[in-house]
Amino acid sequence: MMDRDRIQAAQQGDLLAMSDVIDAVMPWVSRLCGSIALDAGPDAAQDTLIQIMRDLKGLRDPSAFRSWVRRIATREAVRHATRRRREPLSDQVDQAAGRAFEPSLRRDVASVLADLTPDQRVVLILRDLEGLSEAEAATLLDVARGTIKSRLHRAREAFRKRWPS
Amino acid sequence: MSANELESSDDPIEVSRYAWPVADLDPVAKMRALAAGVPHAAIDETLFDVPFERFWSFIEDLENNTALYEGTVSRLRILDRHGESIRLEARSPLGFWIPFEVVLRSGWCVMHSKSGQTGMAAHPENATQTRFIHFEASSTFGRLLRPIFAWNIRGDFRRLRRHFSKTD
Repeated sequence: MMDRDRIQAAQQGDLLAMSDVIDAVMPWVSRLCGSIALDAGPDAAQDTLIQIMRDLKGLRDPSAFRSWVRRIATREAVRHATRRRREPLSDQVDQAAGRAFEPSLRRDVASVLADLTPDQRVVLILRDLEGLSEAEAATLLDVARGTIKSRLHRAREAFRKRWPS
Repeated sequence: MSANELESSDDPIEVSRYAWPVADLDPVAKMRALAAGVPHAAIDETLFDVPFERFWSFIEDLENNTALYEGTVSRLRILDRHGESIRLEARSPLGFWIPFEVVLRSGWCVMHSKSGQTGMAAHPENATQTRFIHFEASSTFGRLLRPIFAWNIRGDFRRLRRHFSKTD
């Protein structure tokens, strides 16, 4: 994602390196926050970047950068998604799919995601988009592996009802 | 839920990674985040009644236009340019030439020197208005100079408004 020297330069306050950090993480943060928080994704993404910028100096091991960013983005996305749940789902789908690369497909995916709870969405994203193992997802979310399994099962079932293989 | 049911969900779902919803941020939102990582940065943002293309074409001409609105710069000269990366010198009102490393692209400009950092970003609010954000910080006297930079940024905004009202 970023080389160690550039991360260390950003940690030392090099503004251009800090700008590079934002460029490097943005596509990834954008997808994590958009998929988990849906219409609250932009707020979650901005809060994620703010926390990354504020706390970067405290990251002791630059080789842990990727997992550190993932943890911040995931937590911010779940926090914003939980806060926004009371809004009508149709609005969330329209907004989350609004900047679509493939409009119809992305809208369908956003529609299925909106029917899931934030807890189910985040497990699905971590396993099937991020490729984390159940154990890694359980550690990141601080829940039991059994909880990961059951949430993942429900989320995948919801997808397969829409797209049977 | 039985063990068999859980086993049936072992296969990942097959959705292109490009089909997942995304949450894009405009340059102004990204600049807010960048400034959050700069100690004692003075930051402000405002709306100009000027279309983005016209607004940014003025800002991005650093050599000719920066000294027209930026209160901490009396002159600026570009030393070297490779794509988005620029090396330049800016002369302070006290007469010191300060070298800066710069990244400049549409809607985004960050400038770094040993003594300070500054950032500007802009984004079209609509067809006729542009949102602009600007921060300034000193590496050496951050806390002390912050109120002065905050005052200076408000002056920058005033000078930009005056410029665009004259050229309407």
